[in-house]
Amino acid sequence: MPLIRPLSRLVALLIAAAAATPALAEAPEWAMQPAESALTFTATQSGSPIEGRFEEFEAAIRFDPEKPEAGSVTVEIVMASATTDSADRDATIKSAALFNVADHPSATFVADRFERGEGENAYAAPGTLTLRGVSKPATLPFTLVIEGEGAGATARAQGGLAIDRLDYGVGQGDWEDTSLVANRVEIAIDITAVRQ
Amino acid sequence: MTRSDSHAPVRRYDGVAQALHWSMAALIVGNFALALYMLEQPPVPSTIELFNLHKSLGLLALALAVLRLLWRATHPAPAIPDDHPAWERKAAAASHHLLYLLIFLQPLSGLALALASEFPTTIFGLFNLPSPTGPNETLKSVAGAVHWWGQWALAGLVALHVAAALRHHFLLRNDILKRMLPGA
Repeated sequence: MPLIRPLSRLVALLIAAAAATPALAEAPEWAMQPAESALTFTATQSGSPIEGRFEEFEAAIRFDPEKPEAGSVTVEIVMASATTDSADRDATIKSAALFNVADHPSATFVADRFERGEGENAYAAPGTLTLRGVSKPATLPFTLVIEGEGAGATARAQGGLAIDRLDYGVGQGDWEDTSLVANRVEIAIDITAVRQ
Repeated sequence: MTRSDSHAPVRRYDGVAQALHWSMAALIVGNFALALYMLEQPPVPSTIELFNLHKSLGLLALALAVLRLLWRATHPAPAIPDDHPAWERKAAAASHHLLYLLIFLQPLSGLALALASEFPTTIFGLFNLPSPTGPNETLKSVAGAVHWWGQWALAGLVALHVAAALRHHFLLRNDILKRMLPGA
C-alpha cells in the first residue's frame, strides 16, 4: 500500500511528460509572407524559356536550424493561380490535358523533416510532390538565411528542383509530345517567413 | 550573246524576277490560307507548330521581298506597251506600288506581332529570333491590327492583280501576263 502513492505519482508524471513532449520537440513555426514569396516555374517551348508563377500558395513551416530533422513543411499551391503572362497560354496550361485544374485544383509539397545540405546555409527538404493527382518523392534543396533571433526573426529560403512534367501526367494526348514543350520543368522557390 | 548586250527594249521579266514573283505568289496565297486554317484549330502542339510555320514562311517572304526590291532596282521592269490607256497605266502603277508596300508591311507587322508576343519565334525549327522588345501588349495589339487589316488588303489587291492579268490575257488578248510567264 505505501507503494501506491509514489507509483501513481510516477504514472501521472509520465502521462504529463508524454503529453508535453511533442510540443517541446516540435520546431518553431514560421509564417510565410506572401508578398515577399514567389513560386515560379520555367518550361521550355521551342528551345526558349517560358517563365511562369503561381500567384496563390501557402506554406506551413516548422523549422529549427539546430535540428532540421525536427522540422516540417507543407506547401499548398492553387493551380488555377498559374500564369505565364499570356491569357491564351494560361488557359491552355490549366486545361484538362495539362494542369487539369478542374479536377486537381491544388498541388502539394509535403516534407516531414529537413536535412542539412552541403555548404553553408544549405538544407534540403526530402518530401513528396503531388501534382495533378500524382504523388512522387521529390527533394527540394535550398539555402536559408535567417536574420534576427527568436520570435520575429526573418528567414529567406531560395531553392529549386527540376521535374519531368510527364511523370505527373502534365501533358495528355497531343501534349505528351516533348518536341515542342520539353519534359523537364524547373521549379524555383523564394520564400520569406517570419518566426512566430 | 545575251539580250542585255543589245539595246532592244526589254519586253519580258527576266528569269530571276519571274522566280521571285511566283515564289512570292505561292508564299502569299499559301501563308494566307495557312493563317485562316491555323486560327480555327484547337490549342494543341500541332497548332503551335502551324503558327511557327506561318512565322517562318512570313520571314522567308520578307527576305524574298527585299531581294525582289533589290532586283527590281537594278533590273528595270519591261515598259507597259503604248497601246494601254492612261487610266490603266495609273491603276497599274498605283496597285503595284501598294502591292510592294504590302509585301513588306505584312511580314513586318507579323514579325513585330511575333516578337511582341509571349511566344518564342522559331524559324523552321533552326533558330529562335531574339526579341528586342520582349512581350509588349501595346506593340502586340498595334501590330496585330495592322497584320489583320493587312491580310485583307493584300488579299483584295492580289485578287485585283490576278483579275487584271486574266483580263489582259483572255479578254484583251495581249502579252501582259506572258511577260511574267516562263518560256512563251
